[in-house]
Amino acid sequence: MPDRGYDAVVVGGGLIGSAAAYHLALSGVRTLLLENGDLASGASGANFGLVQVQDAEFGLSLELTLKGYQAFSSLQAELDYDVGYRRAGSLLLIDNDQQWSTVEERVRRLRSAGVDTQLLDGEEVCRLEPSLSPESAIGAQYHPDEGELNPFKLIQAYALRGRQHGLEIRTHTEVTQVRVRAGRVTGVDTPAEHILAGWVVLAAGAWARYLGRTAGVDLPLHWVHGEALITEPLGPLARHSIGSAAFYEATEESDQQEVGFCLRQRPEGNVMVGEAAFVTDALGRGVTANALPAIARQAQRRFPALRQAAVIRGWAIPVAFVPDNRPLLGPVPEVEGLLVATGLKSTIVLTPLFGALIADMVLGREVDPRLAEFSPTRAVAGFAPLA
Amino acid sequence: MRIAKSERRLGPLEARQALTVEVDGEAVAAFAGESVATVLLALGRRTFRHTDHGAPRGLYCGMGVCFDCLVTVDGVENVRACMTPVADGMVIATAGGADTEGGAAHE
Amino acid sequence: MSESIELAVVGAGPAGMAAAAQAAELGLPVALADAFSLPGGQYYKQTPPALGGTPTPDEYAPALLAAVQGGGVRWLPGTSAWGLFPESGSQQDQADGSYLLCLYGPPGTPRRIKARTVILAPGAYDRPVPFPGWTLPGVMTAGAALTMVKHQHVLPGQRILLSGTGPLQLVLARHLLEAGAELAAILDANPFPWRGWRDATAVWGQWARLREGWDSLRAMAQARAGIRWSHLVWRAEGDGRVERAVVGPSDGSSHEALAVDTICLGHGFTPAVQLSRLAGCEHRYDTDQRAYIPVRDQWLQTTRPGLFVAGDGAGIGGKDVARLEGALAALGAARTLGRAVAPERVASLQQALDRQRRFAGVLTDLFPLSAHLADLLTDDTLLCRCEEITVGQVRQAIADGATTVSAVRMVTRAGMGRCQGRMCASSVAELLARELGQPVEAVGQATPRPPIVPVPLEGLIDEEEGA
Repeated sequence: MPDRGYDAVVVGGGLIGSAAAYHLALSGVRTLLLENGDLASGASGANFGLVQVQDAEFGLSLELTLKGYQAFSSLQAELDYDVGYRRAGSLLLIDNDQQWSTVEERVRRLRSAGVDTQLLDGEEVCRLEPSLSPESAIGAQYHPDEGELNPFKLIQAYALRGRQHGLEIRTHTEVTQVRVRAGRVTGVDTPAEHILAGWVVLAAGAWARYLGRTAGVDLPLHWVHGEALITEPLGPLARHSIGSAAFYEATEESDQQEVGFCLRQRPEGNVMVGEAAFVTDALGRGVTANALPAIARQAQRRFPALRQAAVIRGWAIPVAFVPDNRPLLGPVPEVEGLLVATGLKSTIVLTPLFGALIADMVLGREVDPRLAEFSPTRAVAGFAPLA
Repeated sequence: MRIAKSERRLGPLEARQALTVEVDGEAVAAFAGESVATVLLALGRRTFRHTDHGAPRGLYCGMGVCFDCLVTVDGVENVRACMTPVADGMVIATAGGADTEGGAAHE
Repeated sequence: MSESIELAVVGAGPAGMAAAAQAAELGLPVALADAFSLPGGQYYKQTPPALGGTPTPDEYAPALLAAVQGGGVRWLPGTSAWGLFPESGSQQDQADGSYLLCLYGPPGTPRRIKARTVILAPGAYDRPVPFPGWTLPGVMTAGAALTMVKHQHVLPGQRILLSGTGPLQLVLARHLLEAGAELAAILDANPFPWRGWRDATAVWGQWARLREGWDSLRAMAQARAGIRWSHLVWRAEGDGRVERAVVGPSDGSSHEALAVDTICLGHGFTPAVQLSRLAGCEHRYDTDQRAYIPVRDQWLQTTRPGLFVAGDGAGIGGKDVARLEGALAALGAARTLGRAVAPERVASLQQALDRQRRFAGVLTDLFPLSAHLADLLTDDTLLCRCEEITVGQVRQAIADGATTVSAVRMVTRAGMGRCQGRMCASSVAELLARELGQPVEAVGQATPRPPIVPVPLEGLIDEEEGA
């Protein structure tokens, strides 16, 4: 049985990997999904679950984001699975004049692209979010309709439905090497065996860089060690998902800890707050001693009602990013059969679309030539090779 | 002191320091050193709260690890009754509803 | 800003108090923290002075309590340890490493302590044993009932059923009877310990315990309350509270409904390993204990240099093992700190420990966790009390492909509540193991994450406001 191999091996059982595996299986491709831990045990499991539109990069990213967003109104029906999708709207809080100018410009351009986003002043924001401290924002970028879902359930849905179409999934299986011969992938190695494959899709987040290296490709991926926390279930506190316009400023160049701000109250009442992040070469999942207080300080400043809320856990994970703020999606020219799909800034909104695009690429269907902009081997300013 | 069957507190009570606390709007006698859980049990109250699915919960582990005995104390929600010593004037609110055992509601 | 100290001890039960007392005796600066306002933990739990206090039945407790509350120990009451990290994050130079302990307590309590050595004495908690109706008000642990009747002087109920195993049930029975409660029945899940006579030598010297046991049996005989061996409670029923217990033999061959208003469950204890796991110590699954316990050397040091675990937090051994281990761990910490440690003292501790461990081993052997507990589960039995996740939901997750505790957790949310998996993780693991036909060690554990006890958001901040 292992002799025949698979048409496609997807490495990484997170959002992108499970979506890709599902779409591949749906298209009749003999597919194996390999995951080092449990499904969703990487960055996808730390994801807040936001389905965001208004923070997209202009150009192709925005166009794809809007297209991807449309998939969500029918996603639960298509997958026949409740992924907890709901639309409560979102606010990106503005802290200073610099961010205000940035947001003002963004809103203008987004609106002309048909996105229902608005610039609100501080008073309007506090009316929308009564629990927000008035001092904590001078305004916000508002989208009344953005959604949120449970990423574990989305991944579970893709896995279950994928299996029903013949997808094979092996968790707790580490991929140690992508095998290449004469400019073509032949498969992957695990500690136990060599698995033959016609295509290898690297959807392994931060780990994709090391895997790429085994195939002789240095992908322009960095990662931050991102940390967040969650409280006990609370009464209604935040009506929208909350982010910070500082997101637009994020340079990820400093190796100091940056504390961004994002907050979402889950349907059960637990409030998630993030995020403390720093760039690192290490791939760890340990919460650091400094992250929780840093996040707590921001959280209580912006939402004073959270001060006495019991925090019941923190988590941490490496989150991959590409220094030019665009994802890696597409084939590796030097290695036939090798596809990369990772490094998204806002992952969930593009998950169904990317899953479908990966299947298209594997099946040789025509794809938008402009997707070359996301080529995994493009030159990226600010990319430093690994030591 | 003979312990009457209907009393839940085990005496003698004379040497204790009596306090008054409020339980769900009603003034109730308590004693220094008792936990909120003790006062509720002495009242015959078993249900301290209801879960999201409406299930009644009360005292289970008695040592602060199960987080089932949650009540509101002086306005702070989700406080463990078994780990909280009573103080004079403490305001205790449960989401228990009426579930007192038959007989006298409190001392 | 954080304080520095030579030794920090977490947990003020017999192990923690003995460690602190031993350290103080050696002149080692030591801080001792406990989440409760009074020292004593569970084994040496004190009745609040305002309720009259009680003379302690244990000969060692008074000296330890005095040592802790004397001047030589920095006593931090009402203070939870929620995080433990290698101080600088540098794990290469282990010998010079120290630890950052994250604390939350009343105003004035330090939020961070840098300790060159740490002794964890976190103890244990009643093993959760799910069965239909176990979340009804009136179903509680034997420990909760004992605290109520013995230290809070209130009856937890009027007509009480005890179900569990081992001699601690007798202690509870005696207190309840003396308080005037009616005992509907005492069920022991195990058969009568006929084999006990073979270990008679292990019992030699355990006079206080034998006396306690005798007193209990006498009280029970007077009340005509006997023990039903090889019996379990199969269901708790009632409208909003316990009104009936369905009991019967452990093999499920028959059932009988008893009218009760309280059920006390005493199936042993499980070590609290959250902090030792968070700190990265190696643990192994012990099949006798049916629990994960930290790997330790002869000084009770874990695989993290300078970090020790003493008492039930490293495996259930009882109060005397805890007390002796506390002292031994303190000597181990002193040695790590370069202090001279008298070999005779160490040898005498080891000898006493061997004796006490042998006795503890006998109890575990005679009153193991019953193999029939798994038979109690029905599909609608709650496994996760906090998030209200049923056995059926966990089985579905397994059928859908979950093979580990973490995977079950992610999909069902079992273990994501306030109790942080304390009440359900072992039940989920055992269910997984049974459904997959694998040993419990193979299904993993949830990742330890700080804070390992719920802490108010503002309590996480390393400096108290206004400090």
